[in-house]
Amino acid sequence: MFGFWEWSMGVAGGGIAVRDVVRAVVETEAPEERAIVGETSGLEDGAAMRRLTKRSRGRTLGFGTAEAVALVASVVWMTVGQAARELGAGAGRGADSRLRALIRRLRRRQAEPVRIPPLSPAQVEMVRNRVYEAMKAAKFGERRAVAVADRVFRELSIPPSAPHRPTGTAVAPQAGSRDEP
Amino acid sequence: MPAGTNARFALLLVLVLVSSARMCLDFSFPKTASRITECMLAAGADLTHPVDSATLIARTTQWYAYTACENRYAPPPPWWLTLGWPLLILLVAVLLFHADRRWKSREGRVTPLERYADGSADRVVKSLLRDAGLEGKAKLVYDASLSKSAMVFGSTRNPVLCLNRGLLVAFSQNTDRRAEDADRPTGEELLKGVVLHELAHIRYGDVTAARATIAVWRAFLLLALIPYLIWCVLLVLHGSAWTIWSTAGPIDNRALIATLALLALGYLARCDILRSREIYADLDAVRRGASTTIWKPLQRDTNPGPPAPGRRLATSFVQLWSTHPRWNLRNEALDDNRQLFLVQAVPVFLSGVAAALVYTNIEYFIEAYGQDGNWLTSAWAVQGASAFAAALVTVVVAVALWRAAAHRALTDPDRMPTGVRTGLWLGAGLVIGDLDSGQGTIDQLWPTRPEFLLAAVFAAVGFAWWTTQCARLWLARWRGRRLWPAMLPCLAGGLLLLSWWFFWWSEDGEAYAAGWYISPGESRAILLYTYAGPVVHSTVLTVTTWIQPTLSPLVLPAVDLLAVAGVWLAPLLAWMLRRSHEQARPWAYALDGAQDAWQTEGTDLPSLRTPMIIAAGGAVSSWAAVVGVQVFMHSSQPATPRLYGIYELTYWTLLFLAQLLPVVVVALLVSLQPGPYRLARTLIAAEAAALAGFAGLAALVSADGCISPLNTLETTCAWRPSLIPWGLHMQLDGVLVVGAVVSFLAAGLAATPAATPGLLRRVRGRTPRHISQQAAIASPRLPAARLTGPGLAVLALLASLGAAAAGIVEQWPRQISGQNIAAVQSDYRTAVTTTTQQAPPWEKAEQVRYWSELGGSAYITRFTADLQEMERRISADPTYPALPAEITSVCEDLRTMGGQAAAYFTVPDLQAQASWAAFVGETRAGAATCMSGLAEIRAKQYTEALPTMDSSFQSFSGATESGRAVTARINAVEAAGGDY
Repeated sequence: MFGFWEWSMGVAGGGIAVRDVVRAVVETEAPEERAIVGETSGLEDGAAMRRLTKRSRGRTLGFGTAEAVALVASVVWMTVGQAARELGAGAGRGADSRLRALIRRLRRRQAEPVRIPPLSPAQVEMVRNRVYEAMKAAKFGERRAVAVADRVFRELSIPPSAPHRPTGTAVAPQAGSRDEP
Repeated sequence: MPAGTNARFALLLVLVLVSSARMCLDFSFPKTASRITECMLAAGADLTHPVDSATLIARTTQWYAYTACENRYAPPPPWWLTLGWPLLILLVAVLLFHADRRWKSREGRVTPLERYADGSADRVVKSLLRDAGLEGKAKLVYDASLSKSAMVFGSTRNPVLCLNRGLLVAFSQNTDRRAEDADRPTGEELLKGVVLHELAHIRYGDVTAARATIAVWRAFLLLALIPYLIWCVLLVLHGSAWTIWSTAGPIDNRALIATLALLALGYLARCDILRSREIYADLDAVRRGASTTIWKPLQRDTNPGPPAPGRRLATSFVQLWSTHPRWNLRNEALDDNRQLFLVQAVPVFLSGVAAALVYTNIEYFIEAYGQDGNWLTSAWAVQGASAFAAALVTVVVAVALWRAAAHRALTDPDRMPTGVRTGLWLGAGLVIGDLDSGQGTIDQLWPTRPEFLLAAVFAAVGFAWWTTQCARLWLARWRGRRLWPAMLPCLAGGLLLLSWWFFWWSEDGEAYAAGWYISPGESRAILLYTYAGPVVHSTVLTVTTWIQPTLSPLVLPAVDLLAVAGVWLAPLLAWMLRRSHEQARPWAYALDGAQDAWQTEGTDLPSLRTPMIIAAGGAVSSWAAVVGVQVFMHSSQPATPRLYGIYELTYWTLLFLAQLLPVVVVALLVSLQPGPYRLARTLIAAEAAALAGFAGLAALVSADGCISPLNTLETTCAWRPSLIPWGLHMQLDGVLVVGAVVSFLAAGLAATPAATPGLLRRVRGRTPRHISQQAAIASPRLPAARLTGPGLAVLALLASLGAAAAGIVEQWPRQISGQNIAAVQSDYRTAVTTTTQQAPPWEKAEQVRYWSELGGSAYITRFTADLQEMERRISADPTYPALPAEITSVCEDLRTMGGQAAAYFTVPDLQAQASWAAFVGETRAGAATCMSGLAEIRAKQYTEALPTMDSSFQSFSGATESGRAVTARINAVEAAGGDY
């Protein structure tokens, strides 16, 4: 059993981590989100996403809106993450990945961050368009939507072996899980 | 002028406390329930086919026995437990209130705002705080939520302003979208607007109110509602100790349904309190510089046309359960604050529910803890409960109606509210509250005649209508800087009116819903039993048998005369205010938010000249009618009229009618006069006529005997005011109360054609139309009359309050003393023929068995033992002079026992009952003759004593026989029932 899980997680191992793309985009395009994105570094993908879309429950004496602020980080994370699942190693994993996530949680083990595999120029262009659309849908302005989409485009166009690529995804799943007996 | 938040909170609090006390009382019920069932069986109630009216008769005719049985075999839990439970809930609520602040501002959940990366946000918030004068008072933190909102918790004195991180991020996200979408707020506008909204909550004192509401609600859920609900479910599922009787079924289901309803109603009240403050906070935020754009993008409902009715209904329903008003409502309010002054249906409805629960439950305690003759059974205890419920309604509903009327008077005097719709909501609340608390039922799920509950709707509409009219009258003339002095008379009048109504309804009115009826035959029997003398006018006595049972409960409430005084004096005083030609209304400043816009040109009050002329005519006719009655009675005057007998009773009935009929005519005539303030005019005229009529009656009755054709009760001339008190209750209270009721009905009927189109319009669609033009044209422009000078007001005030004082003084001994329930029982027993119910043999066996076990057989045993003791003592020293010393104590015990046995349940079997009645009668007769015989022996009148003692012993031997017959019959009935 154990070996199977390790193996299946290893499949996602190639390419850039989605969270690294998010971090790079936020660094230049949405500096006000640096802090909140920084706080997600210790969390696995699901928990990080929840942190980025958390809404308040108690509304007594509040202003009365539960509408969450649109974050560049959450838009990029969701869009690129979706693309990664569709195009990459994780494709085709539906209900069983949820089950796996649950079991992982039971075993108190963190998931490996989702990675986006090396993409063809056409695929990168598609992701860029999707990011632009998502930014517009989240009611960001034109200028910002273009800037963020371009930034994502650049990030995905850099070959993974490029020397300036930031390393160390802060989560240390590979090392951590392989230490298990 | 208060917006009513605190009043609503008080409402919720009272609801919680009263309901939890009731639940505590109910918790102990299963322990004692089987015993109560036994008492009911012993009383002869048929529990296999419970019919409320039959149960009511069984209980009323055996009230003393039943109460004694319950108190002995099924006592309520100790009073400190019943009162202590609500206190515990209060204590837990206080703890929760304080715990809430700590829990919400704990480390890890929130972070101090200073630590937020973008320091400029902290600076902006701090400067807003400084402007609001709250710097240093409020703690500033932020939490991890990404909503673009904020909230306050803690308390008003020690608040914590918690921003959602989303708001801070939005603030830092900068302003680049403004160019493209001018309606969208910038981050800074959003932050400022939301923070100003929250600061308004702090400044208005909403924090404590809201948090306390939640704390009380949670404590109630935790300690009362949920345990009680579980208990109900267990009872329904598994049955209780007494479910062998079908009677228990509906009660369990009732409790379950009622508790679920209470849950919903309480939650509704909670949401209503929380919601009520939001628009005030919005407006205050805008006033202090918040950009209105922050509300705009949140408006979901952009469809300009009126929504479909079904959809509107659904939206309104969903709205009821939310903590904030709809966005389009909030947006509308920013432009037009009119809705802050409209009477909201929800709190009005809830105050009705709460009032019904309060008076029902308090009276339930009174019933549970009121022992024979203790202060809880006095009329004032019930009156207190009714007044309390009335005060709750007054502070919520009457104050809201005043606000609405005051605002309308300033902004749109042509379309003044009528209060009818508010009254309908209040009435709906009262009916739901009555149903929830089980008014009108004893052992059934649903009242036998639920249509009688509609009376509450009429009363509520009357109250709201009257309050609105009173408010309008005062607002038309009032030029003071404050409103409360003007409100006071109207609020007091409304409160008294409602407490009178609640008293009557809960004591008497609801019995009609339970299936009670007026039975002239039985009333006649009671009258003949109570009053001595021959029947001179049989037809009049028949009329009395209808009037008496209807009227006496109406004038039973201690506040009846005060209520009547309030109802007509409060409007009259408005007429007495000096007319001002200035249009300025200094009180507008008392109405927060209304001072900036008004275009008032209110019309003055119509003259009271015509109503007063009609009233004077009424008073003169009533004097003439009294004279007519005296002439009529004189023709049948006995040679020596007997006071306080049937003859005088018929006289007073005729006098009552002689006074009432002119008052009714006055009410009809005045109510048919066109023009505004119909109700007030009718009430003033009718009550003035009634009081003046009574003054004439008092003079004519006191002078009885002086004008020979009018002699009725006396034959010699003297000034005898002492003749009046015997009939005072009926003549004064009766005429005034019925006169007020008739005025309400007459004015209501006369106003209905005018009011109907307005109501229909409201129901169909909400296109406003100026309708009062017609009324304005029709209003009579009579010259100002001297009739309505301040002198009249003083006269009316003195007369009315004097009458009230006289009435209260006269009734005082009766009101403060606890009821002698043994006397009440004997009254009813004489009059009411209990129908024997067709219980199956096995149930009959159970009935007689419990009759016997719970006391019946003990009386017979005690009698036998006493008799044996008597024989033993007599045979020990069989001489006359020794008798008193030997057997006095035994005879005394027999006398006591006979009295007690007479008050015990009648045997639920006709044959056994005949023997039992003989047993009791002979025992009492024997004991009485025994005591007089012994007295004769003590006086050494031995010759007289011999036959007396002989007859006494004969009675005792007769009683022995009867006692044996009772026992034998009971054994037979038990045997016929078989083993159950």
